[in-house]
Amino acid sequence: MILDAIASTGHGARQVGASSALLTRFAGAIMRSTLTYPRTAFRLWWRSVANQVRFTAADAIPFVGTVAIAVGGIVIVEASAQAIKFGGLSDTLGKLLASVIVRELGPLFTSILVIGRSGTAIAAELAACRVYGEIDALEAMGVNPLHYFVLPRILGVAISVAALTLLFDAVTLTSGLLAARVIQKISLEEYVGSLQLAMRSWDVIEVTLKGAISGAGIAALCTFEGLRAGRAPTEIPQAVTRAVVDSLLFVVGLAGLFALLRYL
Amino acid sequence: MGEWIEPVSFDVLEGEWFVIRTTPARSGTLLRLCCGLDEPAPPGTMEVLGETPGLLGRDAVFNFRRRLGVALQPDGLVSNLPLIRNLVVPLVYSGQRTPAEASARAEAVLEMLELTAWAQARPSELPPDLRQVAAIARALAPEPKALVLEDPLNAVRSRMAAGVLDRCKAAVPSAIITVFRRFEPLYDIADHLVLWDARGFVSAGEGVA
Repeated sequence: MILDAIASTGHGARQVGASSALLTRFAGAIMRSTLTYPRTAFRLWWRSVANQVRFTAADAIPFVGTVAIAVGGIVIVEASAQAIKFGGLSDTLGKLLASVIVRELGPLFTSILVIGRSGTAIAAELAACRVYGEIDALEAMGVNPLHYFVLPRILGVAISVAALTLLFDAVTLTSGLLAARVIQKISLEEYVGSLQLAMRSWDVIEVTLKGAISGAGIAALCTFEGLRAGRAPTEIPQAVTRAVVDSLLFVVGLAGLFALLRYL
Repeated sequence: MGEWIEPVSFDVLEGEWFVIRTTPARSGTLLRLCCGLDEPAPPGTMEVLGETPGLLGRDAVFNFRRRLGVALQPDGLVSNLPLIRNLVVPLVYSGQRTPAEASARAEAVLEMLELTAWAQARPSELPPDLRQVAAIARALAPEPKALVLEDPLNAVRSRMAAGVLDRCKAAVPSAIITVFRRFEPLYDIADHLVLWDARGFVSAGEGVA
């Protein structure tokens, strides 16, 4: 029994080690592939990036907007209630909004929504391409799959998550304002003034950067899991599951890293 | 590929269409080795167009593959692209042609194989026989030095298949082709026809059926 548990732990550790080594090699291959990108493909590449942005960002606006309205309403009503209870509203509410919604929840929620909506689609599409021989066929014709399948998705999802994060923050703060006015009777001046006190222009840069890194990481992990699927159709859902788990761990780890850097 | 493959040794001469009747597993292994998608088990070696694909580095193997026209099983036509873009994308992303040149070449190849009417159709919209011809069209598009085809045109009527194969041979005189069952148009056009089974290679004269 104990030996089985030790063996299973060891097996798990070996698998994690092997996956990490593969992922490191994949990251290296992505870096190298940017240097060997065929010039002839730039025009088609931009079209692929634009398609990815349309699918990941533009088509997701109603979905992300709806979630942002709900989150804004819930968080800001609760936060303003606590702010009134624990002291000066203008001080506490602004700080809560800036740190909880703008810097943390916005990027994290957006990344999770993008993982659920686009990350799964990317992993499933590439795993299906692997199963149906599309990737092998392109490789056999001299096309580097990193050029065609991976690089446009990384750039497209990075742009999309950065843009959606800004949108999420803006909608959340706006819906929060409406909720705070209706339920807590907070005035517009109080709300905006509190926010102005707590936010810096650097916050916008930080949030955009965080969204872009998060998006690039999600796309890289989802393409990695899709491309390393085997040749059986049952590999497709497995690849999607691995992509979601990897991506969630990545975005949570990234949020932790940014928080750590901010308070160091 | 999941099947033990007995050692074999053979040469395909330049300017010859070499047709091998064999099993899907042997065929898959052989053709993937030809394209450098797999490496031969030591001490085996394979030389194609003067290169040893299994020993080439990542960038070199992509350059090598650009000299081949490949259609394997499954055909691997990209399902979310129209047929013409299935021909254009490999030409552009392999760095061989600009998008405008690639489109012109793709149109010419589709016309040669009488697929122009299907240029904007997705692979799933093509009938099975035309889908096989489309895979051949993609293989011909880069004007390869040699064709590597796996059981091509088995769903195509004999007369139409003979016409397609004639045009292919006129365009690319060297080819290695595998076939899983008797297929007259391919047997007729082959310069060299062999059976490959557990006994090794058996020449046409020794009873390939």
